[in-house]
Parts: sequence; structure tokens; C-alpha cells
Amino acid sequence: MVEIASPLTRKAQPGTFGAADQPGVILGTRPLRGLSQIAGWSDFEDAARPVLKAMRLPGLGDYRSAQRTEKVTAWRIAPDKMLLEGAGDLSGYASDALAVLDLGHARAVVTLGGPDARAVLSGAIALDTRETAFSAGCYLQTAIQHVGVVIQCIDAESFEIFVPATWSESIWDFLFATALRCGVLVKGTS
Amino acid sequence: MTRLPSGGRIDRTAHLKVTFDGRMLPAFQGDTLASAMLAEGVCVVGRSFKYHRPRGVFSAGVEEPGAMVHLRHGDRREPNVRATVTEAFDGLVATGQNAWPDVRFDIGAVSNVLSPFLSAGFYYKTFIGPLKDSTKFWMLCETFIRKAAGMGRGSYLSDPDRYEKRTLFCDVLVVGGGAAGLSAALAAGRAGADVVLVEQDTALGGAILSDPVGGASDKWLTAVRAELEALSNVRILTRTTAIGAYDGDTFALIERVSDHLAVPEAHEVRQTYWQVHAPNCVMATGALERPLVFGGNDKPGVMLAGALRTYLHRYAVVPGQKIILATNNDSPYQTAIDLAGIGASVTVVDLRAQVADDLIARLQEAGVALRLGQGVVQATGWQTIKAAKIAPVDENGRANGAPTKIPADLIAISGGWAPVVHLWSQRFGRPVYSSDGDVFVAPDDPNCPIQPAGLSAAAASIEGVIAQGFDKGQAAAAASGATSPTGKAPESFETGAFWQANHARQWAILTASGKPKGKAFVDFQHDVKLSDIDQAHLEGYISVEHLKRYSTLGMATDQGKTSNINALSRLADLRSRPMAEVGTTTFRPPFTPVAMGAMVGHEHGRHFRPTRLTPIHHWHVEQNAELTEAGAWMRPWYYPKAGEDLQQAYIREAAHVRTHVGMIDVSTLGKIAVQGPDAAEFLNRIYVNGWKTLAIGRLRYGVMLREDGFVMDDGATARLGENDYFMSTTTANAAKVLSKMEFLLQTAWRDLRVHVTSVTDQWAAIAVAGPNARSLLSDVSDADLSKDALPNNHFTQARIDGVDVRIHRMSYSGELAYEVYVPAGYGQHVWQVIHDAGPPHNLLPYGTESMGALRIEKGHVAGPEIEGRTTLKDLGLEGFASSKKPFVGSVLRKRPVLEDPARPILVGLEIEGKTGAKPGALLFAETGKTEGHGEGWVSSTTYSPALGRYIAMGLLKNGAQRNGELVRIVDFVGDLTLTAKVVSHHFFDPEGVRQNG
Repeated sequence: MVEIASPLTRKAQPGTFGAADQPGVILGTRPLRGLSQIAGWSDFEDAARPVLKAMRLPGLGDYRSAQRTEKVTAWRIAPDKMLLEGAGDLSGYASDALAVLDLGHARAVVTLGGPDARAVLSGAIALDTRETAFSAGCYLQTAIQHVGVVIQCIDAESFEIFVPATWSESIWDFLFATALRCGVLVKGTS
Repeated sequence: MTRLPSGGRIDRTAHLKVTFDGRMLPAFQGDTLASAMLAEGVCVVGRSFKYHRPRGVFSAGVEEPGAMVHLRHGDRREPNVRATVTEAFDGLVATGQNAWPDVRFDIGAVSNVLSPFLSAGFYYKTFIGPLKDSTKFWMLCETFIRKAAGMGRGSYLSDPDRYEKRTLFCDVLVVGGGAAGLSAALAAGRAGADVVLVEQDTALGGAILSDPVGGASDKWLTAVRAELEALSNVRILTRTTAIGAYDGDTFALIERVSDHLAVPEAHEVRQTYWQVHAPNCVMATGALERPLVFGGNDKPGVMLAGALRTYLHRYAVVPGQKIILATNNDSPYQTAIDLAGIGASVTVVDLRAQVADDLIARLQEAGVALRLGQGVVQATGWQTIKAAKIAPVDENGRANGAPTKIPADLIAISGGWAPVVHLWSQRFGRPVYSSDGDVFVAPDDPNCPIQPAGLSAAAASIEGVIAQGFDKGQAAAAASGATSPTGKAPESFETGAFWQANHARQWAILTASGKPKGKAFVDFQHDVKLSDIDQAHLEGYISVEHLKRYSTLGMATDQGKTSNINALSRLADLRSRPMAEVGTTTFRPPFTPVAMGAMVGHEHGRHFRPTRLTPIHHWHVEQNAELTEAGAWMRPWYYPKAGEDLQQAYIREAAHVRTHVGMIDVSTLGKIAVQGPDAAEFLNRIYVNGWKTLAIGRLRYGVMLREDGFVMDDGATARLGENDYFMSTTTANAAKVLSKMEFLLQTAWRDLRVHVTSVTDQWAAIAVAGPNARSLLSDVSDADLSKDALPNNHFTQARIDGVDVRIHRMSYSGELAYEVYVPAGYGQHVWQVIHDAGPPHNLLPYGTESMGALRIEKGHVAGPEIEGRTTLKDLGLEGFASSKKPFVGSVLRKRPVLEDPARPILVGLEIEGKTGAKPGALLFAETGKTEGHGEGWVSSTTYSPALGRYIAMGLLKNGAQRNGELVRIVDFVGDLTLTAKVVSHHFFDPEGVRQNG
């Protein structure tokens, strides 16, 4: 089986860069565990129910908190749209009421961590990244350098940034430049 | 030497090397460049803007109008730097500006002699009105004027420093770290609010730092600062200036992270631009001292009294020994006493006839001479002050007695204080005049999100400053929901020098005739004299806004911080109107000058905008392809062989595709999933042609219009399933098309059950074109690609080396061609597999330049033709439009002007000779005048290997009737005229034998 190539392979070369003895930022990437979009219309909740049930998700969720099960993470990205990572092939659920779209190659995941991770985010997006506003489990749909991204808060010092694959190297470079003053530890692919 | 042997807030153990115009200025940590200059007796620091008059240090803060220098050198040279706020650092190099050969002896000072001719409006009157062809004359003169007048010179070298932009959210923003701001931050912090406290100085304290070290105010500051620093919910940013307040409770701050260092530390930024979102702001920005206006008040050796106090107590510098303190209020009295205490000869000259008895007693006790009811009529001297002429004055500031000449080397002046209301005014308009104190303040409004406190609200006592700051901080915190107990406000402290107590309105000291004695300046930076304001008024400029623009008052880097109120007062006097009626000008951001780099942040160079790379990008780089920008994308332009240039390479590549087979990365094409039960109806409305009959497994070329009937984009759409379509767009218009479709679905067509989603990132796309394309792909895939199994405009699912792909049979080049769509993560692998299978089929990769050559030969339209001004008919695509259904643009495309048969339409041009045309060149008839915009233009051009000549596509009036006609192609920019024959734009294989084969 041919391995899926990450667009960030060339960027995520381990090393320490920038200032500080103790890097304040850890950059890395991880493989996307498949990504599907399900979309519907006014009857979206009904149409999505079989998928949600199969994924053991309680409902459509809200627009700020990701739903997570052991395998699946789901984001309600619009009133009638959800993104699901780790859900496997959902094409069988497609119907007149539910559009299913495979986006498993369309995003790259940048992992951002460390005590200065929030500072880097504040240099990249114009949203409130304080822990009181953006805590573990929350996500943001925003833009870095005008490129639409989804940012998932894993914990106080860890984030995952879902970036359109073709923009991902450029966004990595921007985050890297923003983080340099804090000191950057680049991890390989996790 | 004027440095006191002890005292000050400087670290005398940390010696710094500072130079100004090559002169060494011994300095200590904690000094500013200005304090180092004064300590070393440097009098002339700069030259004025227009008259090149010598200027010294006038203030001790951001309001400085004269002491501006070039700081650093080479690529870090910065012009117009205020010496008064430039922290001294080891290795600081400053030089004078706007002077030649230097600020002490400046040839430009000759303009001072010409000053009678250079009054307000001089340029307008002299260079614009009276002459015929005045604009040209003005432009000529402007060159010389700009050389003679002006400020510093920027560097043309690239800025080597890094800057960053950051976003910051908080509940309460407190601007100003003086007594009011500290009290506000303390209250808000104790209440539990998320507080950001901003101070533009190097340390918290504000005016307290100008008090004697170790006094009551210092103890107060130490205690409050310690409590603030212990509060985890209070963030303190020093060296940070709030430069702007904007709608949406947004503020801009500039933090000077590394400006106090010779160069920023490795990886550190020079400055940070903070965009702060704060629903509540306490504006504790203090007040600026107003100058007094009299003859020679701009000379080196005249400075603000508050500044003198700062240099004395903060930097232990006494800039003179024979000191006159001229005032119209109480604030300089304590300074006079302090100066006398260190042995200076001090005379207080007070415009007021009476002052409080205790003040008089204290002066007498300290040995300070006092002249009540008198004013400085004129300062004498040129590069230093020699004496002051002092005369009795009446209640209007006019001399009414004989002047007395008093020797002096320093004249410190105080004309009262003006609250700093800039941030409030930037958001909410003009401040209001308060006759109580003769000041402009923000109107009292408890619901305003920016609340002034302390001196910025004209508080009348230090007790009031602290109480007001504390109350405003508490209220701001409460407004954000933070209501923990705040306790009591900090106790007040004694301060001898405070505000403008007992301020009198006189501020200009004039002769009995009502004129100043000599040049009396109102705006020190832009050389605007009192007489200029009088003249502007005389000429009818009675609005403050007109006065400002006519006289250039308040327009330079200091934005009139020391001049505005005096100018308004003069205008009020001239108009015999109260100040409230005359009003003030509008304050605009930034409060202080900002380095361009700070506003740019990281977004320059390769981060100016993000770059988009295809999944196969690195293969192209490894093959040494020359890359070109295509919007945000980087695409392989051509793959040069040794010694080849662009021309040779693309001709070779295009010829190769026609004879063998080539492959090109077309992943940049816009790709959009159109899904839903109404997708076919949706496509029917978006595209001009019909879609309801498209079968699964087929694809179709489509054209879409804008509402106004012009062509917007084209591309092919494949039907993948019952409800699933795969649309491709041009690379350039992908985002526009998606946005347009989403807009229509969310507004006009909410009834349609359709979703559109970009899948450009999901799919890599590889075009394989040429006579050997079928055999090559048949070798690498499991698909039956025979003509019958996969005719043109069909697609099939296939596998290539274990990867599921989709192969579309379609052609952009006019050759037998396929597009292979591959999930992006396998894109480079599949590309490599196809490439590796290529040798038996004579495969070469080709780039965008040869792709363009091939499509022009075939006559396909692209971006140069679909450029927003062309219709279906113009492009020969009218036949695609369905007459059986409406579609976007179907009505307005029928406008008479778009149906005009004389409109330029698409034609082919066979160019004579061995030179190609330039896109954009104009088309003219073979004979006749070469005037105007011609009869059309060249849109695309190339050398055609297939035809062995240069060809072009263009739009030509009445083009359909001009087949065979010769036209001239005129390139006015390149000064080149060619001759071409008008032909069909389908140059190559017009019957489509190859692509359908």
C-alpha cells in the first residue's frame, strides 16, 4: 500500500531553532486520520443521525466545542455541516438528504505546543486565545494569513491546526517565524 | 558639565558610550539621548523645518518638537527620532538632520533671512496661481523646496530587523502608568478583571518619576507597583505606546521591545504591534505642558518647565545656572525652589499679578527672585540663550512698561497644561472646551467605553487623580463583570509640583502694539509663528481646520502637541469668539510616529502573502524547473535543458507534446464538489449550457457569466454520481467561483438542496497530452482507454500502482489528452510512476509556458481573454448558450451594447516576421492613422512550433468580417509595430481530429 505523503514532511525535520535555552514552542505534524464532511439541509439533524449513531456521537454539537470519542473527533462547522476525523469511509451514508465528501487528503495537521503556544497563536490569528476563552476541547474556525483553518485546543499548552494541504508549508513557515523569538523545538511527524 | 554629582534615577555604575555628530556624550543607564546631550552642554540639537533655525531640547517627552535626530546608521538609520524619548544605550550613534554641513553651522539657515517672504501660504501663492502652466512650474520648484525644507532622511536599505503583530484581549485596558493609571489598574486588578496596563515610558510612575528620588511619591509608587506586579491578572507593558483607538473597542499599541539596545538580540523582534480588544478602557494619559509664546521662544535654551523638572530630578541634569522660570500658573514654583536648592540662580517671572502668599514665602525662603505681573518679551542669543527681556504686562499679556534685560542661560516656560485626550477623540470626535482650566476634555459620559482619569480629565489635585483613577478602574472592572472587593484607594501623597493650579489665560507676551518682539513661534516643529496665524486669519482662514492646512500648523511628526491649544487661543482672540466656539481639530492615530515595520509585522518578503504549493511541487524543484507565480501558486514554468532559455525551452516542450507525449501538473485548477439532489438544476443556472442530461461518467465543458452578462469563468464538470458533480475552474478564478456559488445558494437560491465545497486541496491533477498519451497511461493504469471505451468528455475510475485515481478524457492542448485526478497525498507518487513509465513513450514534463503555447495554437480562451470585459459572442462561445433556460447573466448579456456587431471579437493573428507581439499591444488597420485606442488588442501571444511562426489571439472590431485582412500590431510601450494577417483563432487542428482520436 502506498503511504500517504504529508505535505509537511520537509518542514517537520527535528531541530531546535531561535531564542531561549528552553524552547517555548514545539511545532510538529501528525497524519490526518481521514477526514469527511457530511452536509445536509433543513433536515440535517435527521439526516445525520445514522452517522452520529454509528460514531457514538450524541448529536450535532455546537460551533465551539469539538465532540470526541475514542476514535472520532467531530466539529460542527456550519448549521448544516460537520467535519469528522477518524470516522472511516462514510460514503455509504450518502443520500438525497446527506452529502458525504472525503477530504482525507485536503488538510494537514500542524501541532503547536509549549508554554508560548498561545503567544504564537495570538500572533497568527485575531481571536481571543486566552485560556478562559479558548480552553481544552474548544475549537476555532478562523484564518491564518487569510487561509481558513480549524484550530483545536487539546489542552492548556497544546493545539492542532488543520490547514488546507496546499497552503500548509507556507502557514508552517509563518508560524515558525512567529515562534522564533520564543525558541522553537521542531518535532518530526508524530 | 551640568550633571549633578548625585541623585537622579540613573545607574551611575553603568557607563554608556553615546555620540552625537561624532561628539562623545558620557551617559549612564537610565539616561535619554536628550539628557545625555544636556549633561554634556549640547545646545543645538537640530534645525527647524523651514527656517533652519537652531533648536535645542525643548521637552522631556513625546511632545518634543525640535530635538530630532538620525539614530543609528546604515540599514538601521532612523530619521526624526526624538532625543527626549530615546533611551541611551552603549554604542548609540546619533547625527543631526535637516542641516548641512551640520546642525551647528547650517548653510540652510540663510532661509531664516528670507523668512519675511516665507509666511503662511507662501507656496500656494507663489507657485500655483499666477503663472501659466503653473503645475509644471510647481513640480520643478518642489524638488528644490523639498531639499531645502524637511526633516530627516530615511534609509533606502532593507530594514534588517524583525517585527511582529500580536492580538491581545482583556477586560480593562489602562493607558498610562502614572498615579491615575496605577490606581485604575490596581482597582480593576483587585476586582479580578483581566487588566492590561500600558506605559510608554521605560518604567511605571508617570510624573512621579520627575519628583525627587526617595520622596513620598516614590514610596507610594513602590507600594502600588509591588501590588500590581503581584497580581497575576494584571499584565504590565512598559515601553509601549497606545497609538490608536478604533471602533469595536480596538486599540493599537506599539511595544518597543528592543529599541533600547544597539541591535535586537538574536531572534528577538525590534517592536511588537499589539492589536488590543478591550471593552473598557481607562485613559490615564496625563497632560502636556503648554509653552508661552514670545519673541525667540524657539531658541536653544528655552524649554518647558516640566521638562526642566524631569531633567533635574530624574536625570540629575541642570541645563543652566542662570535660570528664568516664566509661567502663568503655580506648577513651576516647586521646581524653582528645587533648583535654588542645588545652587542655581533662579528668577520666577509670573504673568499673574498675584499668587498665593505661601508660594511667595517659600520662594523667598529658597532664595528665588520673583517678578509678578511680568513676562518674558524676548529671549536673546542665537545658538544659546544670553538674556531675557522682561517687562510688566497687562491682563492680556501686553507689555505696559519698559523691559529689563536679565542675563540668563535657560528660560523654562509654562503656559498651563493640556489634557491628553487623543485616544478618546480618535474614536468619539472633538473634545469639549472647559473654561475651568482653559482646557479641552472628553465630555462626562459614564457609559463611554473610554473613561478619562487623572490629568487627562483635568483632575485638580493629586488626591483627585488617585481617587478618580481608582473609581474608574473599579467601574471598568465592574462593567466587565469583575466585582471582587477592591478595598480602599491608595493614600495620597504630597507633591510640590502639580498641574496648573491658579492658571491665568495669558500665554503670549506681546509688545504694546499687540505684536511679538521678534519671531514668536506657536508651532516649533513646522515653524509656524504667531504672525502666520494672524496672516491666515486676515486672509479668511477662520476655521481651525482651514487654519491648520493653510499654515501647516500641527501637521508634523509631533502633530501639534505643544502648539494646538495656543493656536486655537490665538484664533479665538482674533475672532473675538470664546474657545468653545472656535473648537479644536480632530485627533487622528497614531499618537506618536510608528515605524512602518511594526505595521507590517511578519507580513513581508516571503510572508507578504501565503504561498500555495501543489502536492507535486517538490518534484518540480528537484528537477530544476524554473518556477513562476500563478496567483498564490508556484508552478513549473519550464524545465530547461543545459543552456536553454525560456524561449528555447517552451518551444521545445510544446513541439515535443505535439509529436510524442508530455505531462504537466495541473493541480492548481480550481476543484469544487457540487453535491445534492438539486445539483443539476444548480449547474443549469450557473452555466450557460444545459446540464440536466449529463450522464454519470461523463463530463462537459461549461461557461459561466456574471450577472451583467460578461464571461466570468469556464471549465469542465464531471458527473460522479447521482447527486455528485466535480467542477473544475480556472486556477485564477477558483475562489471567486466558489464564493459566487456559495453566495447564490445562501441568498437567491435557498430553495436548492446543494452544497459546494472546495476540493482543490484534496486532489492532485496531472495532464498527459500528446499522441502517445493513451499508450503511456494504458501502461501504468488498469483502465481501458481505447477510443470506444473512453471517448472524449468521459472519465473512468482506474488504479495506478495501487492508487485509486480518476482519468478524465479531455484536452486543453488540442492533443489526445487525459487528466488524471489523484488523491493529493498520492499525487507525487503517481506522477513519479507515470514519469518512470515514460521513456518508451518519449515522455517529458512541460511547464505553463508551453501549456500556454499549445492552448493558443488550439484557440482555447483563458485568463487573457476571460478578463471581465468580454461576452460569449466576443469569444466565439455564443453557441454554448442555451435558449431553453435562464442562467446567471442570460438577461443582461442581451443588452444592445453587448450585441453591437462592431464589438471587438476574438480572432487569430498570424504575425509576419520573426518577432512576436506583446499582449496588450493595440490593433490598427493596415493603413491609416495610428491614433487613440485602435480597433482592438492582442490578448495572448506565442511562437507556434506547429505552424513555425509567431501567432497571437486578439479582439478586433468587426473581426468576423476581416478574415484575411492585414492589420498592424502596435506596441507603444516597446515602440514596435508588426504586421499580421487576421485568421481563425483555431490555428491548429480546427476539426479536433487529434483530441478526438
